[in-house]
Amino acid sequence: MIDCLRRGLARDGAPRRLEETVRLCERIMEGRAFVPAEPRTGFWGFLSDVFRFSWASVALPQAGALLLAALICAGARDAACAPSCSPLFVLAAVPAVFRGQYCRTSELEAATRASGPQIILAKLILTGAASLLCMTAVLAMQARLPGGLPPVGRVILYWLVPYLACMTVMLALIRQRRSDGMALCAAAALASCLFWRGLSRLWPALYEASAVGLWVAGVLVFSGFFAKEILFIVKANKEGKMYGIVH
Amino acid sequence: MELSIDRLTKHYGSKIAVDCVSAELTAGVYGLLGANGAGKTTLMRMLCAILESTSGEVFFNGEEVTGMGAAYRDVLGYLPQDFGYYPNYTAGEFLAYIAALKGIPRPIAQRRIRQLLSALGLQDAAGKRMRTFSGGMKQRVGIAQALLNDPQVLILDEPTAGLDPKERVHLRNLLADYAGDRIVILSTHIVSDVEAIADQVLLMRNGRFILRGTVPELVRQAEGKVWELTVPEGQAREWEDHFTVANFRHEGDRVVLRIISEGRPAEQAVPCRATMEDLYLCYFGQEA
Repeated sequence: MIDCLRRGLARDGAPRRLEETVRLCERIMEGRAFVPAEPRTGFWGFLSDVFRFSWASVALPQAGALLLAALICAGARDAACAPSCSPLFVLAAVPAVFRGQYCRTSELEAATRASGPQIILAKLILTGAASLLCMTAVLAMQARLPGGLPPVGRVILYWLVPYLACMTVMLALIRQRRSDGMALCAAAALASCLFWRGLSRLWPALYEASAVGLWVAGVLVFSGFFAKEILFIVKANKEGKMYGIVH
Repeated sequence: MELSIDRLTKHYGSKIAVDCVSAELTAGVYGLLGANGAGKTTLMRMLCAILESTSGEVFFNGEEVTGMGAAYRDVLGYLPQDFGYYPNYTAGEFLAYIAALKGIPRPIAQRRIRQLLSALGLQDAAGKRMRTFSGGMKQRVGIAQALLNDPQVLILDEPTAGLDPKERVHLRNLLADYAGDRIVILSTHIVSDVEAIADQVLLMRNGRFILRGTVPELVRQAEGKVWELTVPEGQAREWEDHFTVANFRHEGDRVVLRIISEGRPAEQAVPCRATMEDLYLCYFGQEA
């Protein structure tokens, strides 16, 4: 009896109308697919909208950081002090990046078309662009200090390493969804500023041509960590996952 | 249009917030009723795809919502329980900002903001900063932002919290008008709100749906469990210690108690018609 049943099941086990059923299912799903009734803005439109509504929280802290960096450079005796100001521009990004968290809007924003990861990406692009402008202005001041500007490649390395390290810490704190992330990030940026300033005074050889290898290694390491954090955001965005804190 | 919840579960460590919940929701208003900590907010966050489930899935028209990404959020309107706002924004600016995040082009957004502010009685407050708003006004702005993209799925977590009775009735009428062929899910503690507008009520306890049905269907379950008993004033508290008392009404030097009980609590107790609130107390009387 059991053998008979087994033989029967083996013979008729494969569905006979599989292709027809798949086609029917596809037709039904196509009919049910969501077609937006009205157009939606693209990423650049969205970016310009985020800037329109967040320019004050993006630009004003950056202007403040620029002023502070200018004061530091004005009172400095060596050009190496200027790059140690770069974490100040990460500190200046904190109000814009953590705005949703401290105003408790992140849950609301996460349920919009833009979603949490995309909003953070937009804010990073905007604060990054503002930081770049401000850091260029500080560079112009550095050129007037004793010792002046080293070659462009070295300038980029000196500015990039502390900036990337600080940015990575900020993104890691957001990823870990720490409720004290904003305070920790601000503390890390200030501590980093002091650390690099101390290092430039205690170890001036670090800013000489012979130490370029160390700086290149630093850029590679922190670029790697930074890229990893950015990829995490991009992946969260693609998979429709939440990023950052929802209260 | 269909929103399917398939064995949705959420654990926070050893605590089970939502426990293998399943439901098929088609167009209509669904009232989610439950005590604090029943899992309503967690469920709503998972329905909005802003909270990952431990297991189980949510499907909109047969597609898994997390995978749909922006396409799902395009048809979604959500009002969180404790929604934040930017205090320096005016109501108009805040709505324009949310419209931008929803990807609504500016001319369409401006038109819709005007319509919604007017529908919610906020047209005079459009230019005022939100930090100056009363709780009810903020809540109405929250409801307006949820409706900005004319969503097919509208999820409102405690939408009537902070609203005065007139505003509540106004909102109920607005939602009833709006629902039409859309899915509206609202959670609330205010039983009368659910009674007034929900086509279907989902009663939630310990992360599970324990009851589901229309208001008359559910109220029928409480029939025969609601009693009125007149006692001397001094004895009222004693009765409250032993039974779930839904209401006290003073009549001279005596008190009329509305008691929820499986059996007749006393010989002189008379049965009376049940309401949705009685049903709620049947299930949550001890917790309340």
